Amino acid sequence: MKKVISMHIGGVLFNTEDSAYTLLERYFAAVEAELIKQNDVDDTLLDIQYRVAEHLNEKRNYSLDAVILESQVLEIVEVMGAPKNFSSKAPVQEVEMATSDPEPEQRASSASAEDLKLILPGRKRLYRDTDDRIVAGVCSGLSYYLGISDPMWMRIIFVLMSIGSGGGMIALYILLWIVSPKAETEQEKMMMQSGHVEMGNVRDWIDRELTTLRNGFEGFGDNFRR
Amino acid sequence: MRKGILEYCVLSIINRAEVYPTEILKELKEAKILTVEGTIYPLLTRLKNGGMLSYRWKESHSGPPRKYYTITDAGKTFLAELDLGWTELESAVNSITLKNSMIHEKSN
Repeated sequence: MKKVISMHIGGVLFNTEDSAYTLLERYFAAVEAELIKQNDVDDTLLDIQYRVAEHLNEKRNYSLDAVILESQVLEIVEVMGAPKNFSSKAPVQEVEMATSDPEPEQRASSASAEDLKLILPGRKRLYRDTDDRIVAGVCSGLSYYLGISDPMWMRIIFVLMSIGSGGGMIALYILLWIVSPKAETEQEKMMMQSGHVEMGNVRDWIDRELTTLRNGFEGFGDNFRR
Repeated sequence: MRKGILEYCVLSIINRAEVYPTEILKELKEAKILTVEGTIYPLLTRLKNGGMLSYRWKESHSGPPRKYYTITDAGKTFLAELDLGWTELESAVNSITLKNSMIHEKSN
């Protein structure tokens, strides 16, 4: 049982599963990152989104009540293709001809080390991770920022120090709460966890999901909770 | 695929009639020259920015708005050059490969 998200592209309303929406967000983030890298942005992202909207319409047979599933979005992403093939500077040899290559999907998904380079380079940012929170996600976000694997340590430290310091530690917590934004979009979550929106993150992730989909494995939905 | 072939095909399609990207995709797929849809969007943007294409928006009945592309005069000139380039390539390759059939005849 999943939540449904109501969203629109180009003024057309779509109801999608929450994990389907997440997948779309990540895909568009990867597309945008690639287009920015090649100075191709302009209207191109919008054009691609509109095409995806047409695909979504077909998947739901133009019925507003139908909820679009994650598996359907995966199919659309496969048809639209990997962002690394989009840019104007990509050598045209990379465009796959339907007849020439017996396994075009495998070639597209084996990204070389070049492709996985940083797109939006930068430092890791402090965000609050509200997907993994007790109060406000401060300790969770801070753990990512400091490179600590389990937020539990931060929480223990905070609680122990609150006992000793009176209001001081709590004031610090509130300060951090105010100062760090909630990581909401997929791009922000990626910045929180690793400091970059990396093509590799999204592409590998999509590849894995496509593989599990093809293997008919039902359990992958659980991985989407984060 | 050799550089410029996709541009050549896309311009040829738009030259024949005012079309929007989905129609272009349909023809490219039927001709088996494209498997991945996303590629044409930066290509169309680039052609438009280069002055080869212009477009207008049209609202769609139950879908998102559509960009209908037309070819400009500069685009037609460029297309003529691409035509020439393709013809030259074709005859160059033919002049070499037609000899393949001559060898078969000899060996028979």
